[in-house]
Amino acid sequence: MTQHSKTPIDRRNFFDHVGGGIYGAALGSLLSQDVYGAEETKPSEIRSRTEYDLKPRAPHIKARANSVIHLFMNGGPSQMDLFDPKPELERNHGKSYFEKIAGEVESPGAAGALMRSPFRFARHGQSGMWLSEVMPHLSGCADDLALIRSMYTTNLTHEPALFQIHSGNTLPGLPSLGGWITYGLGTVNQNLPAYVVLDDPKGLPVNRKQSWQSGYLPPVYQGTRFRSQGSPVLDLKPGFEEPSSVTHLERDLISRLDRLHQRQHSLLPGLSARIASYELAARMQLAASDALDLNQESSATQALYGLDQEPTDSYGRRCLIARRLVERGVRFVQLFLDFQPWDSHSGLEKGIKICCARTDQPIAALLMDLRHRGLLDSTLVVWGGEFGRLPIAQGANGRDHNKNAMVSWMAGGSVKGGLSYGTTDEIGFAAADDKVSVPDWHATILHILGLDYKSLSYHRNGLDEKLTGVFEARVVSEIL
Amino acid sequence: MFVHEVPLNSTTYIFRAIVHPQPMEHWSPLMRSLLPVGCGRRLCVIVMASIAMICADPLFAQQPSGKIVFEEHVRPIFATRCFGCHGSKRRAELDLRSRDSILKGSESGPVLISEKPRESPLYEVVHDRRMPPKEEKPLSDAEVDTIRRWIISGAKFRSVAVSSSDGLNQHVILPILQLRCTVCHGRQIQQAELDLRTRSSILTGGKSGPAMVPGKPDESLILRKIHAEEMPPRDKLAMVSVKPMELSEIKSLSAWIAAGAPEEEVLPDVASTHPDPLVSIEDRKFWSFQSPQRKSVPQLPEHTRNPIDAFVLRKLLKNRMSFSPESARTTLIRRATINLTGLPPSPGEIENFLADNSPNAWERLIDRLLASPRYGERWGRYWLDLAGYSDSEGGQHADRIRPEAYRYRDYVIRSLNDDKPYDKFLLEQIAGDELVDYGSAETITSEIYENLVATGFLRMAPDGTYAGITAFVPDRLEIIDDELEVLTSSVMGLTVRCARCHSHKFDPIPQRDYYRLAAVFKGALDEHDWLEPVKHRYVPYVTDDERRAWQSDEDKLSAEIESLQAALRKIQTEFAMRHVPDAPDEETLKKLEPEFAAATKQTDAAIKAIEARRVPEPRIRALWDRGEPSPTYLLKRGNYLTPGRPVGPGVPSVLTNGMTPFDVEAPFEGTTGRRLAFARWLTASDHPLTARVMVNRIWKHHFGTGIVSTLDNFGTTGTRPTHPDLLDWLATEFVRQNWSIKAMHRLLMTSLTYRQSSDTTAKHLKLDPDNKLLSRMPMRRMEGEVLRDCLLSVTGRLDLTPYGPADKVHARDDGLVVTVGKENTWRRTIYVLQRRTTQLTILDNFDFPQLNPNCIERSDSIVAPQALHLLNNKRIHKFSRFFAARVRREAGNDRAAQLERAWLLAFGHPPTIDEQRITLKALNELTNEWMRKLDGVKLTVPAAAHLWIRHAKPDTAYEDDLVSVWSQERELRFGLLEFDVSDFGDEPWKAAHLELGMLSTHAIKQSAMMIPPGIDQLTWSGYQKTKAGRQQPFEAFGRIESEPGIEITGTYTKSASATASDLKLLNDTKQGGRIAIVLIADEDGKPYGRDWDDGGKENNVPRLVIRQGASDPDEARQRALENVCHAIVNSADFLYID
Repeated sequence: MTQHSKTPIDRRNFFDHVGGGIYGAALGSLLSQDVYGAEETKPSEIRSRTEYDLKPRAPHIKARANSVIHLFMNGGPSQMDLFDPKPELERNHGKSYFEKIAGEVESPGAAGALMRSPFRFARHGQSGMWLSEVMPHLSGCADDLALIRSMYTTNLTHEPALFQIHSGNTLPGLPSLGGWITYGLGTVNQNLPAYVVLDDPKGLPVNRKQSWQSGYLPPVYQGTRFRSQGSPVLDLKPGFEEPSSVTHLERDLISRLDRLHQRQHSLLPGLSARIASYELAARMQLAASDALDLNQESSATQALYGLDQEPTDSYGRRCLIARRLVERGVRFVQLFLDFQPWDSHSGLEKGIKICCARTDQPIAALLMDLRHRGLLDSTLVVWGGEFGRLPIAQGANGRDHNKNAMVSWMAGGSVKGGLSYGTTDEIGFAAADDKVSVPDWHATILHILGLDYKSLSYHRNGLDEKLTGVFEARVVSEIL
Repeated sequence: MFVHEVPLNSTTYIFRAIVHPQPMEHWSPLMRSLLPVGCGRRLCVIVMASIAMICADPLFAQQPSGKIVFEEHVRPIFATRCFGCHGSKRRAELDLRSRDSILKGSESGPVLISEKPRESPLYEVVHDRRMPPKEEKPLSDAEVDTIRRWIISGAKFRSVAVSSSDGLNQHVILPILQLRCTVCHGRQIQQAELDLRTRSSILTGGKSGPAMVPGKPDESLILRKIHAEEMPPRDKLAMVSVKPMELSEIKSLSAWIAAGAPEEEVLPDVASTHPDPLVSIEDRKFWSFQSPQRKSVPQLPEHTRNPIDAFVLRKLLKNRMSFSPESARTTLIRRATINLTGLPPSPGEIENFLADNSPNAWERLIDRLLASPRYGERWGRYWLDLAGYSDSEGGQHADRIRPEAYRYRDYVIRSLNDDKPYDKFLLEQIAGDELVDYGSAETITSEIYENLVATGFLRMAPDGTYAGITAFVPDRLEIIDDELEVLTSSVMGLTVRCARCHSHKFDPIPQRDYYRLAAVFKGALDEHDWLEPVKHRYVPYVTDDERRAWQSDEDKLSAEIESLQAALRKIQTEFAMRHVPDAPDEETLKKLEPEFAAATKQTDAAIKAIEARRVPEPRIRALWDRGEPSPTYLLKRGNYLTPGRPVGPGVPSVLTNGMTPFDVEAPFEGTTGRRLAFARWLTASDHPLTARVMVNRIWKHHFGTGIVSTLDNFGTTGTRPTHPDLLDWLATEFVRQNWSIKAMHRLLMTSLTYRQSSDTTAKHLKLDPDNKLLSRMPMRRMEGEVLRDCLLSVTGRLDLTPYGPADKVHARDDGLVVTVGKENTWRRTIYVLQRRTTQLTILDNFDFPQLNPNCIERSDSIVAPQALHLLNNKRIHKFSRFFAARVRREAGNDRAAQLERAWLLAFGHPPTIDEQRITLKALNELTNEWMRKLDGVKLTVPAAAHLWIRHAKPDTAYEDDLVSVWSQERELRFGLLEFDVSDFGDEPWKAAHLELGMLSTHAIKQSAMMIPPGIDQLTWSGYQKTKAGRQQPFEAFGRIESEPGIEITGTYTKSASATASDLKLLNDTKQGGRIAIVLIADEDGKPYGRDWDDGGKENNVPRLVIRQGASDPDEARQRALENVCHAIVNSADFLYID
């Protein structure tokens, strides 16, 4: 066996080299960033920013959490089958209701009568939170959850509703929640992306990469996809094979040429930033590979998340990676499922069971693990989809989309555990009391991270653009 | 019900006041004038309470005499002084004629707060003499006092007996019918011969008679159908993107019919010869709303080459500075060449320029670059950013391709290359369809074609309305809004979009101006008469030449097919003769005669191949006026459910004198002429914005920052020009030079200002840190597409074929998006498919914008993924190898010459002594290192035999002599390669890999595994069973992955986990001097019809590459040079332009 057929690049060795002397100055300045405190940034300064980076920034107000894990449940999970029991629905099962909500049904042709939930509900935890039998693991974490049962949105079609939940607007092209947060707060760990997306190896969600795009914000605030297998980031490792000693010599040459170039233009800040970006690239090769190395976890932890077991392995891996990422200071981690498994137009019972079988244990494991490691207080875990489902049947055993009521929960980030907030009407068709709009939800998440939704703005086309757009929003302080 | 609606509406308005997110001090005077002073949340609650009180208090019904009563004391004042605008015209949505209408307030909210004159905008504006407008006589003190006393005493009206039909006219009803009914009973379709667009057509009715009987709702067919739930028909709603009628809408319709279907003549709100009450003379005085004034060029004694320098230097001198020294000539030619063409200068061009000692060498260079066809490709990209050009629809998951969008891209490039005057360029793009009567033309000339293609400008927004479920009226309004945004942000430099929901907060752009603009475009962009994007936005008017060429191609293909079929018929007859007199039919004959069956199969395949060469009938994706737009209503709060007053076409008033009607004349029948009138107004030589906005943009792309740095905002919140006199001089010069963009380039680039060095000194940082004075040239990073094009150019692999359908891209599973090239050459980035969901990774990394809808100015980021891409990406690495090969080809084996050549190609200048020293040293070290690491001499063995497995179907698990397997979810293909290695003797191999040659151009991921022969049945089934974990057990034998259409070379088959024993296995599998290798190709999910394209080309024959014996010094030198070239494209000197 010859040498160059071994591992493509001996990265540790390579890092030693580049770290040692070649990029000395740049490395020094970057390493110091690891320990620097957040720079003081007044809200008004954000508007006048001209250079966009991921340096940590001070929040507007005291932050309750530093990181977010967003467990996005594509397809629209059914609120009355999971979190919002409706005895009236049980009593009125089979009664016609369509006429009262005709305009709110996406596919009127298949609309049926009121339909009860196939699942039983029971009280859990000290708080006695009502949860469906289909989530046995999460039920054990009831006292961690701040359940919002009164959320609603404004569009009942997947694509626009997804855009809305991710960016506040039903149109594509706007920055996503994760982008806004990293724009506002930067990130602590400069060796990893600030906003990581863990999409499902089985396939992309509806709207694909547009769900985590930066829109009009600079591209540095776009979500970075980490694959849970193989190379986590595009081009993180060379796409060709070369002896590491050769790679080292070449990079040495690059840095020497760049330093010559910089000497001629010593007063231009962009050039040193570029040299720094090459240094960061080298360190990201290490940091990202390390963050994704689940072999470092004990077998007990792996078992807790359901690794190497079907059907929990895939989602369990992503939940565990999410924990490892927030542990390393990544600001915003977002988990997706392939396409939209929660879209229960037919076979509701079976579909929900499949989704829960994939996600219930890993999510509970994530909450327990975060708590165990003392990370739950500083990490906000958010669960939810793009809309809810109707109390009437679609076809024989499905439910159609419903924009008037949806459910979500938050945990960690010093939200009140064991709280069920807001109500829907007696059949679960529409949010009734303490309604929470999508802008409210966004404002609340920003608030928990110490960001004021009114101040977090980006100046464009003569407007101070915001995540919440022109809408009035309300921080749902009752759950805090 | 309408009695109740009054307070309801009022609270809606109040709510709006509460929710306004902007601090009040930022509101325009106009907005403030319409709100109570210091209005905040608390106050608005009071407002609400007051209004509720007014409506609830029974005392208002019996008005005690002697008090001030609206009808007797106030209305007469309003009638003489205010009704002109705030009567039937309802300026700012305010009608002062009745109690009801006053309580409804203005477009900005309530105007009357009972008992609180200082908080009532109605009183505020007359008291402060802001109303009537300044041009008119103010109210007398007595009149103002009457109003004050009226409000203070409780704002009494004589009667609250409000007729339920007050304000109920056709304009309340028709928008409802537009929303719910006219898609089937309107302009395009008249189901049952019924048209519900006007009162009279409703009365006329359809097949079943009149649709309504005024005064008798119960007898009105329309209501009977609605009540019976027959209309709108529920099962058809989703298809036509209509929602069922709301209960409140049915009630309104019923009330209107009950009241006798009253019709009131309300003229659309348009500009008239009366002074505009909403935009004052003061508003019009803002610098950018005034036509540019040409100031005289400063007379300076020295250091100026042209007027630009005079303006710039004057300001520099004022600040105790002067120009920086002139840049080196090599710097200048690289700067100018990349600036104008987006490509680096060639060594020959550099040499010529350096050798040209004539005084006008620089001017000649600029002229040569401006004449280059590459110029339009570079500057066209800037325009495509503005237009939001995209080859796909976006909006929906499917992200449908726009197959003909490229015509617009080509139009832009051609127009710029032809130096089409900018006014004409705009006219064509905004109203090309109204410039030529294409419908009546006998021949479609290139002029007609160009004009129609140009209208693609306002067809670029992301548009998901091809799916019924995202094509409702509000969805369509978003698209229209996007198109208006494209227009106003790019061409007008105004933030008109703000006025969609409310009057602009900072600029004097009332809400109705937005809707007047929407009315201009309504002939083509009509939310109630919508053209589905994928199918219906096309016209067939390509030039006769193109159509003939297409037809002739079609005919040729048909003829080829016909001749094949004829030949087959002949064979059939011949074979059939053998079976006379049975006359077997075709199927029987196939069974009887295997030869005939084979011939049929062959012919079918040949015909299929010919059919695949057919291209769809050519057509144009255009925007055109359809002559009969639906009426435009101002939408309160931008909400389609709350239409306000009808509005006619017009332009932003602040850009006019406010007393000139917008005259529209249809140029020919079937079109409204609105856009044409708008475009002519926009391109008038004294337009305040058009020329300024464009010269500012040209300036920005030469000097890094605009004279007005906010390119899209020349309004009050935009930045002021750093050099106002220069901007105006340029704007007027632009018009004077017949709107020639190239003349502007020439002017700017031949200045001393442009030729300055980019060196930044301490003095610069002290006196001009942001370079606002232009004391030097900025150093700039290449844009993403320039980087890619320059890379291709230096590697010598750039295919300069212009125009035509976009080149495909390939999105790999891991998210990497790359172009698919031909024969290892690639076209310029502007010709690569720009799909919203699959943007090239290199562009994504280097700030190429997400065009939703457009991009006025790109951001410039410096992030690690850029470095990762340039360092690690396989394609970039491949480019460096091409680059190295070229350098060696052109410079020979001398190292100094190689470096000289590489430097000249990439950086446009020879290496400095330091650079040469460092690089030569590195080159030596690299060569030595490669000598140590190379595994002996490389020997290539072409495959002696190869079989490629074709389409494998589930029911034919094994096909002919080929191995093929069908797994449940995945189709697998197998190939068998055989190599004759008998010449290599017994010396062991040090390494081996497989080169497959060109893979098919299908955009499907393909991979292959190399498996030594002797695999038993157990292994096969083992593979089948473990699809999910398919790395096992084969990974040890290596895996090849490639992008389709890309030649695989130098791909090491051994994966990271391969061990020496794998190679031994390969060595051991030599049997009788031959080695056989099984390839497994898989692709995810979708079956397709072709495998590797082995098309007989030399480099497409699979090869086994073996390494044996001692290392090859020549190869080591070549590898080292490749590393140097890779370092060069990674260096700052390449990426940055001095």
